[in-house]
Amino acid sequence: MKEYSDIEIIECLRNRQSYVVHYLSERYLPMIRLMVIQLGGDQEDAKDIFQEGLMILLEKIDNKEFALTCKFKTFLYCVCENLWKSTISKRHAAENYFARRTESEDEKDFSEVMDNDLRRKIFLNVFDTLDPVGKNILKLYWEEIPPQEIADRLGYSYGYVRKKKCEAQAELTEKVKRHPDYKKVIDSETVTRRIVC
Amino acid sequence: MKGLDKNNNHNSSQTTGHNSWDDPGFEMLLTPTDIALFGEISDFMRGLSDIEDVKSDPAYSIKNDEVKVMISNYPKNSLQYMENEKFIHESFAEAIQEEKLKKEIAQIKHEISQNNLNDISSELVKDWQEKRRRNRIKDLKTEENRNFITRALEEKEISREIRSEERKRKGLSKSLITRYTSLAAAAIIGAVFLIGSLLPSSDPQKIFSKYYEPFYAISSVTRGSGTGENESLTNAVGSYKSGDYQTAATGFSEAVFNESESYSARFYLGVTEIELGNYNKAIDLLSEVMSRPGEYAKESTWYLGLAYIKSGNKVKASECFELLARSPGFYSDRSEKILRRLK
Repeated sequence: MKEYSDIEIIECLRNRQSYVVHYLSERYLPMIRLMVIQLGGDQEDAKDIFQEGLMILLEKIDNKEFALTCKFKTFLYCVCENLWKSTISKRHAAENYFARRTESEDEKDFSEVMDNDLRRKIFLNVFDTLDPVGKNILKLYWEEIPPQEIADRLGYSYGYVRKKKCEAQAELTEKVKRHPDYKKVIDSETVTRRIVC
Repeated sequence: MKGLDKNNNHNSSQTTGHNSWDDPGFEMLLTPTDIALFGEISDFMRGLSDIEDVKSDPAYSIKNDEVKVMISNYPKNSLQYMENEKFIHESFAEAIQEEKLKKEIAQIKHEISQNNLNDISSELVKDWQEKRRRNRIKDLKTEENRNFITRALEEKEISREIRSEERKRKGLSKSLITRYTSLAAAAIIGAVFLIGSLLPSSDPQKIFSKYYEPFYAISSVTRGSGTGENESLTNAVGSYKSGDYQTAATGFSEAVFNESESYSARFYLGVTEIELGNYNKAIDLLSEVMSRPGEYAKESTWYLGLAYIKSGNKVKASECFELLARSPGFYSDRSEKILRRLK
């Protein structure tokens, strides 16, 4: 997938090119999802907020006088964060702001929030246990830096960067899977699924 | 961005070599569970890093106040809101569908590696190529089969897509191994007849049919150029959107006449002329818009290239697509593809 500059994103949104929404969803939905979950929401809330945030931005962008005075990412985050905060306060006032939230949400949400929280802690803890080179390479990989550039920056060969990234990735996933708390989360999810089914 | 690579599916990146993570020499054999888990960790770590980045941006606190006002003034229930909502929801649904597809492909790849399907299929393809090399003279049966498949693909492209969607849905209940085995068998049988005959066509008409589709018009209400576009333009956009290109052409011509500086009217008139089969008129109009930097410049270059293809001027068409291929954005990759076919 191509990277788009902020100017291109705006141009494509003005032209209603749906591929840019695909790009934004892949690139920035994780950030919005994390923010929403940290503030008590869930994955579905995050999707709703992301979409509504984009709608608000579209309206703004359609105005020819609109000029981006910060990074698009910052603007999107700001809109979604404010939107989510305002949704939470509205939700308290009117419980069925989202129709689907009528189901027994308290217990479900509480366990979901706990599990999500625990998962994030496990990811961070396990990541910290990786060796510094592997950690650095993964961090740069997550920042979308190409392998050759990482090799140049860190002074390694291309092959070494690729090999190290594979090793770090395998170690990370293995350690997470073996983490006793992770097993508990997975077990609890399995139980919940069985009860629901 | 690496796209699929975050889930270690090395098959979609358009960048190759050392500037991409999609290097087959470093493919990892991972279970679908590992792929999903690493995808989840990657999403979380990326999100975390993006949030840190946003919060350390000095513009963040300034924008915050501005955004609060923006949200409170955001008009729901307006026509514009509904149009935007439709666009975002549809695009987002496509993105989710893509994500599901990626997961499915990852699972299939895993099963390919587990069942050595790659070796089996590559042997079959080798045998087929060897057979072709030995028998230079085409036999009647193969020719018949090739014609049948080519014709079927051309005529039934749309229904094929629909069927494939249905197959995807129905197939969910089948075991993936069974599915993949049938898929691989079908692919191999297909390959037997298709290799050679289905390489990307360099026929200009086919290139045009593959890539041309009318520009998606946004009503001038939501996409005003700020130059006071007249009523003819608004009406013409309506006719254009409803597919009444003859009326649209009249409206756009009026708009061009009334407002000689309206490049949006010229652009739409250009695309409308393509729809009406008046390629030379389209070329004149789109050349004017393309030569002026700004709004519609890329779009007009794209449609101008297609109009040149249709009028048989490959050299001029190539010039347009070279321009677009060099410039990042939506048209870049598809222009490169067309260029490869035109050469």
